Amino acid sequence: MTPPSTPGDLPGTPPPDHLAATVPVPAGAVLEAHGVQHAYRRTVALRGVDLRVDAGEVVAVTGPSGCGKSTLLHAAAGLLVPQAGTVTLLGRDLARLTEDERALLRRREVGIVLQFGQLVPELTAVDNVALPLLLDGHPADGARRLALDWLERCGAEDVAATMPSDMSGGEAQRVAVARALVTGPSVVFADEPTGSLDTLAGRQVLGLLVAAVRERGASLVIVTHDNTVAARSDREVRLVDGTVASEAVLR
Amino acid sequence: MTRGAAARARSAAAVVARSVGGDPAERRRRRLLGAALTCCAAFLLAAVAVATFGLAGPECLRTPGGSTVCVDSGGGYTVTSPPGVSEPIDDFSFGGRLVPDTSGLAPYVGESGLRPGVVVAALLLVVPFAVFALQVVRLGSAARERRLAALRLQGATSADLRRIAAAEVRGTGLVAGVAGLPAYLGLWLLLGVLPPSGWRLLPTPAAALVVGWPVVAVLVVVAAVLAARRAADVGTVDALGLSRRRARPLSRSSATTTAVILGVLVLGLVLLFLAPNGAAAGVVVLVLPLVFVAAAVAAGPWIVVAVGRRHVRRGNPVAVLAGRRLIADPRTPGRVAGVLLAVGLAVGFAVSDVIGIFLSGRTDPYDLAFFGGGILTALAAIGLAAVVAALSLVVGASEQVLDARRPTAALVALGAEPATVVRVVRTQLRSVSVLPAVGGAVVGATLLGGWFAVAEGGGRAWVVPAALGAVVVAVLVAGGAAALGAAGAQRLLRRPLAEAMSVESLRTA
Ligand SMILES: Nc1ncnc2c1ncn2[C@@H]1O[C@H](COP(=O)(O)OP(=O)(O)OP(=O)(O)O)[C@@H](O)[C@H]1O
Ligand SMILES: [Mg+2]
Repeated sequence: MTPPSTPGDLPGTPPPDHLAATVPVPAGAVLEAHGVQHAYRRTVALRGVDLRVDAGEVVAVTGPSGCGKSTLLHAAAGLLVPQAGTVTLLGRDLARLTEDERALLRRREVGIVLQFGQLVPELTAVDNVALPLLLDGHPADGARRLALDWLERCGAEDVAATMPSDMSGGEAQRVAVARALVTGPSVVFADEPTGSLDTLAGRQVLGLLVAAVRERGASLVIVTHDNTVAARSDREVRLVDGTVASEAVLR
Repeated sequence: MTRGAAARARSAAAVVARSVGGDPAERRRRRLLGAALTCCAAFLLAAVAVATFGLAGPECLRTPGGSTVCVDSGGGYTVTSPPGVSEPIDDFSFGGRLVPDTSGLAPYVGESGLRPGVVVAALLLVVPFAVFALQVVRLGSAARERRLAALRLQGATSADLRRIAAAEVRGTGLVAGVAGLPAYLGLWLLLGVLPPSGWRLLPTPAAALVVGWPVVAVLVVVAAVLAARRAADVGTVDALGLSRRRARPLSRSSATTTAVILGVLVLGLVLLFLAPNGAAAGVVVLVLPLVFVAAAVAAGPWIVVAVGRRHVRRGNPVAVLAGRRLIADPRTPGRVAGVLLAVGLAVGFAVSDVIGIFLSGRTDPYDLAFFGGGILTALAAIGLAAVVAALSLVVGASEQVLDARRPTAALVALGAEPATVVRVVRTQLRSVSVLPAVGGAVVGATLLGGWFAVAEGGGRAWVVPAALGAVVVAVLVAGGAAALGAAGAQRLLRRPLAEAMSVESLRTA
C-alpha cells in the first residue's frame, strides 16, 4: 500500500468528496444567522443577533463575560436550536434538520474546538483524532494514519500515544485542533481555544489553528477574550449583552 | 502515625462533613451505602442464626409415620414412636425424608446435614451487597473530588485523605451494623414466620444473635473503613485543585490473588471429580461455592479487561469507545461481572438440577417438594443477587456518565449521533452483564451435568443429552435475565445520559 500523498487520501477507498485535499468551499456565505434570540430560563443570552461569515473568512467574536458568545457559537454550530431567528450553515437551515442530520453535518463539514476537557479521556491522542473519521465509517487503518499526520502538523506527534490525563494543557489543545481539522471541515468553531493556556502556548495553538484553516481555505469563527487573537482575524464582531455592539473589518 | 495527624484528619473530616451535609449527591451516597451495609449485616446474621441453630440441644423432627426422631449434636438419635408404629430408621434418617418438627423449618435448615449449605448460601448473598457497597464507596462524584482536591491544596497529605475517607464511612458503617439486627428480624418475619410450616428458612432468634450482632457490626465497620481507605488511595486528586482521572490498570498483586484463588478452585474441582463420593467431597462441595464466588469476583476485572480489548480490536467506534471505557476502570464493573458470573453459574446448576431430577424419574411427592422447594429458594436468592448486581451496574455507570459529561457533550458536538453514544453505554452494560452470566451458565450447567455423568457412571442414556439441554436452557435463562437487567439499567441511565449529551454539559468543568 502506498502512503497517502495528502492527508485527504484514505488508502483503500476512493476519497469521499468531503475529505478531498482542497475543500470545494461554497462561494459566498458559509454561515448566515438572522435575528437569533435565545434565553435560558430567566437570562436572555441573545437578543436578535445577525452574523454572516464568508468562505475563507476568520471572524473573531469578542465581548465581556456573559454577553452570549458561547450561546451564539452553539447556535451557529447547530448544538442548540435558538428560540427565534434562523441559522443557515453551509446552505442548510439548521432548524429544519433533525438532530441526527445536524450531527452528520457537524461530523463532515464542521470542526469544533473548546476551551478544555473535550478529548475522550479513555482514548489516546491518535485515537481521539481518528474518532470523527471512525464515526463516519472510515476504515480504521486509514483513519489512524490520517490522524497521525494531523497530529504531526499540529506539533503533537510526541503525545500520539498519550492519554489526555497525561498531557499538558497546550498538548491537549493541539490534539483538539488536530481532531477538529482531520475531517477537512469547511468551517471551524472555536470557543476560547486558548483560554486555559499560558500566553506562549496559547499563541502557538492559535497560530496553528489559524494557519491550518487559512491553508485549507476554510472559515473560522473564534470566540476570544484575547485582543491579540482578535487582531489576527479578518473581522471582529463585538457582542455586548446579547446584541452585536460593533463590527470592525481588520483586513 | 502521630496523634496530631489523626486529630487533624478528624477535624478536617468534621469540616468536610459539615460542608457536605447539604449536598444531595452525598446524602444519596450515604443512604445507598447504609442500605447496602445493612443488608450485608442482615445476611451475615442470618448465617450466624442458621449456623448456630440446634447447637444448644437435640433437634427433633417428626417422620411421616408420626414418630419423633431427636438428633443430638453428636449425631446420635433417639426415636420415639406412638404405640403400634414401627418404621425402619434408615428411611427417615438423612435421606431427605424427614418431615420437619413443629418449628416448621424447611428440611435444609432443620437437618443438620443440609444446614451448612444454607449457611453458605447466606454468606454468598452477602457478596452482591458488599459489591454494591464497594461501588458506592468508590463513587467519586465530581463535587466530592473537588472537595478532596481543595483539602489537598490546604496541605492535607494523602494519608490525611485516607483518614478522612475512613472517618466519612465509619459512622454510616456503624449505623448499618447496628441496624443489621432489626433488618435481620424483618428478614426472619419474611422467611421464618410468614412461610407455611416446612418452608421456613430462618429459625426463631436465639441467644447467638445477641453475641453475633456486635461482632457483625464491627466486621461491617472495619470492612467499610478498609474499602474507603483504599478508594481514597487511588490518588485521582492532584494538588492543582483540578482532579484528573487516571487510568488505573490492574496490579500485579491483584493478578496473584486471582491466580491463587483460581488455583484453589481448580484443586477443589479436581478433588471432587476424582472422588465424587469420598469423605472430603461433602466439605469440598460446601466450600467450593464460596471459593468460586471469590474467584469470580477477583477475576471479574480481568475478564472485563479482556472483553474490552476484544471490543477495541473490533475497530468500529462504538466498540472501541466501549472497550476503552471498560479498560480504563475495570474494577467496579469487574466485581459486578464477577457476581453475575456466579449468578450464571448458579442458574446453570439449578437448571441442570431440575432437569436431572425430572429425568431421574422421582415421583415421591415429598421428594419433589423437597427439591422443588430448594430450587425455588435458590432461584429467589439468585434473582436477588442479580437484581442487586444490576443496581450496582446502574450506580457505577451513572457515575461514569456523570463524570464524562463534558467529553460526552464534546463527542456529540463533534458529530456523534446521540444514538451512537447510547450504543456505547449499552455495549458496556451488556459486556459486563450478559457475557459473564452466559459464561457462568455454560460452566455451571456443564460442570453439574458432568458431575451427574460421573456420579451416575454414564450408565444412563439420558445423561449426555440432558446435560447438553441443560446448557442450552441455562444459557437462555441466564442470558435473558442479564439482558433484561442491562436493559433496565440502560433505562435508568437514560436521563443522566441525555443530560450528559446536552450542550449544557459543555459548560461543566
Ligand atoms: N444553562 C444556563 N442556564 C441559565 N443561564 C445560562 C445558561 N447558560 C448560559 N447562561 C447565561 O446566559 C448568558 C450568556 O452565556 P454565554 O455562556 O453565552 O456567555 P459568554 O459570552 O460565552 O460568557 P464567557 O465569556 O464567560 O464564556 C450568561 O448570562 C449566562 O449566565
Ligand atoms: Mg463562553
